[in-house]
Amino acid sequence: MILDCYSDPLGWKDQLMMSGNFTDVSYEASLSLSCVCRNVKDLDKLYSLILELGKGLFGQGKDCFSVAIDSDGSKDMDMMLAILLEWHQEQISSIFWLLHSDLHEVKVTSVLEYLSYVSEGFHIDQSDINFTSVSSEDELFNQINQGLLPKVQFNLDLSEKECIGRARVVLSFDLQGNGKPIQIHDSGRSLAEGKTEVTLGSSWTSQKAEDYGEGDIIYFLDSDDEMPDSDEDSDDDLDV
Amino acid sequence: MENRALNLLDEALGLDYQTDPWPLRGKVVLIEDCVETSGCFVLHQLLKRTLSSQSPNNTVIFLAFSHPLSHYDRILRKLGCNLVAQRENGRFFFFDMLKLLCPDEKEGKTGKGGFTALYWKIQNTICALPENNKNHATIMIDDMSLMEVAARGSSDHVLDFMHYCHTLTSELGCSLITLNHEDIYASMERPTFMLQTKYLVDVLIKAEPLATGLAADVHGQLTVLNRDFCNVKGSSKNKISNFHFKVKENSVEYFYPGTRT
Repeated sequence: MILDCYSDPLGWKDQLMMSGNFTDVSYEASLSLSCVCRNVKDLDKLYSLILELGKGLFGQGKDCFSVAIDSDGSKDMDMMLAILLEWHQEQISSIFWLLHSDLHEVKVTSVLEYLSYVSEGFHIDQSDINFTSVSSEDELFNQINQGLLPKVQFNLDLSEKECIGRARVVLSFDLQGNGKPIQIHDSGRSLAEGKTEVTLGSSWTSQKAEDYGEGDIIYFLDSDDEMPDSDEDSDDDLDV
Repeated sequence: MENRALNLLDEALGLDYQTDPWPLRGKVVLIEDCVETSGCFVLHQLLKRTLSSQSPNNTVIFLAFSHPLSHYDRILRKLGCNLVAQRENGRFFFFDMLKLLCPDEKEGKTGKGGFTALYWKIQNTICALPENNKNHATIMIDDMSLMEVAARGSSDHVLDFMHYCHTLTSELGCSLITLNHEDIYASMERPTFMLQTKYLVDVLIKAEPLATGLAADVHGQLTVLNRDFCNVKGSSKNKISNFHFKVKENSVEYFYPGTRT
């Protein structure tokens, strides 16, 4: 059973027909086919209409029925809440309510969430609908926002491959220090390669990468340099 | 055949695939602009496009809250469309709403005057159309922020009116094209009015200034979000298009970013 609160929620069309200025018979007939609520602001009447429709299904028995509400952001939420509390006492077994949460104050939606047993957010993929728990809605919102705003023609996001590549770059040692052993940057060498044994320079013997962590000064001896233990005073030729 | 020359806006709205039935039939279109970049030209273009389309049944009901008829007539003349002649042919109905002021709350309850009467006027106009034209009516509103002013700041009245116009799109297959200014609501924490109208909308056209600042040969960018867009193969999905524009004396140029030297 459908109670139509969409076609004529304030009774404007009804008033127009009553006034006699309206002459389109076919349109009038199409309106009168379904059960139309002509004043949604009168919630008591709306409530009794729903009960009437529900009871109409079973006669006067004790059976229960469900109510599904597709609201387009009804403005009288506070009053709706009061009615909803009342509904719990009556013959209605369950209520399904589609609510646009961004249209209402946070307190209204959270009160409704307290009242409800199941609350779900969802997003729609190309072909099917995925339901997620409410807590991850913020993530969804970000995803949607990113998808809807193609403002610049440059690519500002990183692909997965680019993210992995960025994680592998060794920063200069003063930018490290997140608890891991500090690594000295050697240009052209990435983190994974640094683990293998390497040979450095001509006069120095091979040095393992693990030794980097001890803070040694690494010095490459050029062939032109003098030996450090020479007896000659290097400042002899200065004429002071 | 000027109207056959398609541009990026027509493509984004799906006007390129077919003209009958009118692709915007039963749809609600919202044009959103800001002080820096006016979106009026999109409304003018759509008005011209609707009246000069291949389908001779298209009818436009124009609710003008911001300008008199002479303003639109001058602009549309430059675009190659004579509004006065169209009005005489019964294809263009102009409702001058410049002086509309809704009655006070107490008087409003009687249902006389204000938006209720305006809605009745629209419904009667549509129902008085010849049978073939009834499903091809387009309601245009310029603009919604001034409707709020006419309603003495009560956005609920405007939303009620919009809701009733929306019932016309689903019951009679009319289309509804409105203009609104986004920056009016920028300072509000929860712009309910704006959000609520967006829930009604099928196509959202956003006119914004360039993200990179002012430029001499580009006036701004348009983002068109087309929900339930049907392509040639019949599959439907959301479609987003983004392109730049330049408003000229009697036409508008649309182009993709970076394609102008």
